Amino acid sequence: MADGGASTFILLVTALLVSSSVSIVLINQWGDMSSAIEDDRRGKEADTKTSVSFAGDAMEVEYDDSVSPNEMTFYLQNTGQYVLDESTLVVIVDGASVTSTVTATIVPTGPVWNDVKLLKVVVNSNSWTYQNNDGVSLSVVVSSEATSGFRGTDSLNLEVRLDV
Amino acid sequence: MGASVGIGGLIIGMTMMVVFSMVVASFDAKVDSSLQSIDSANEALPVFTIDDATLWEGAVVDVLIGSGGSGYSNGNLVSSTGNGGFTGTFTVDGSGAIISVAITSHGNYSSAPIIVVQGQTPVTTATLTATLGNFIHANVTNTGSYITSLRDIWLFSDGDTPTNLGSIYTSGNSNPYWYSGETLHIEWEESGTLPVSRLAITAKGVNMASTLA
Repeated sequence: MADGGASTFILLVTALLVSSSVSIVLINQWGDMSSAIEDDRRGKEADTKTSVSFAGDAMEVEYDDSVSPNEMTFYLQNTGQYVLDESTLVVIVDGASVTSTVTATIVPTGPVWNDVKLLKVVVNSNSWTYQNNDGVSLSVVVSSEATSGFRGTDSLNLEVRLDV
Repeated sequence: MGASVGIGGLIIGMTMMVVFSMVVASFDAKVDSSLQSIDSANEALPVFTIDDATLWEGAVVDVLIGSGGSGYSNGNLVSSTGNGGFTGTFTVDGSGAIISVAITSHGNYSSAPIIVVQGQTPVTTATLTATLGNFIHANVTNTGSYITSLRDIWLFSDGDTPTNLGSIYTSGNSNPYWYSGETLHIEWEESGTLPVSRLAITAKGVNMASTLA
């Protein structure tokens, strides 16, 4: 009887040890998973709150062929909730990334491109030979300033008509 | 002994329930914060129309006081030439000299009109000179349900010279919001190079444009 009691007690203690070990492992795993989910959520939140839109008249995008290289001027509006980082701006015209000069000026002048302000973008390229009323495909990619360690990214694609 | 086993099972069960409840609580918190993020991101967009847009190339944009004259009292200004529709008001100092002018209607002229004081006989006549410029008049209506702050709205002429509506809108009331169903009359002293053919309005990424009459 005494042997039976001891073995049962050993079983009980073993069960408790196993269950507590499993609990610790589960809690740790859940903590890691929760952290990963939180990071993913913050990344998605940053993307969701990062938004850029074309501003102005897509039918009247200024194109100056009197200068060399030819220049194109258009405006972007920060339509998201996060401050955008104009230094991350990537401009693609007719499928070709503009690698020469991209000049971005916040309108009205200020230190940050927040949700009220515009960005005046002047791009140029030696390879452009556009004429008045030519249509071009314009794509823009921009990222937000880092918020809590996360940057959101947004892009826009639209057809615009040039006004020489 | 049976009681010991029972207590042990109870402890194991309780431990598992605690772990399970932690998982459920954590899931709930994540779902709530995600939904809040999605809700805050799905903001309604403004919907509006440009009812009409007109360019007045001969609007009186400024009245310079060459000589204030004397013997006036605060009153009104009109144009003695042309029928462009200019009106204004002025204030005087202690000697009755005109010291400030305010334009109440810019009018539209083919050449600079002569600006005169209405209905007064001064001691010395003032000299006032009108300066002409471009003025875009437009009526725009908020046809959506979104209440838009005027500072979120930008005006463009021929896709350039962006001007914030909140910085120029003065007529009507001083309320800085554009409510559903409300029509705003915009008077914009546009400084771009002539000819100007189109007016574009941008609000929260929504763009509308209209040819100027």
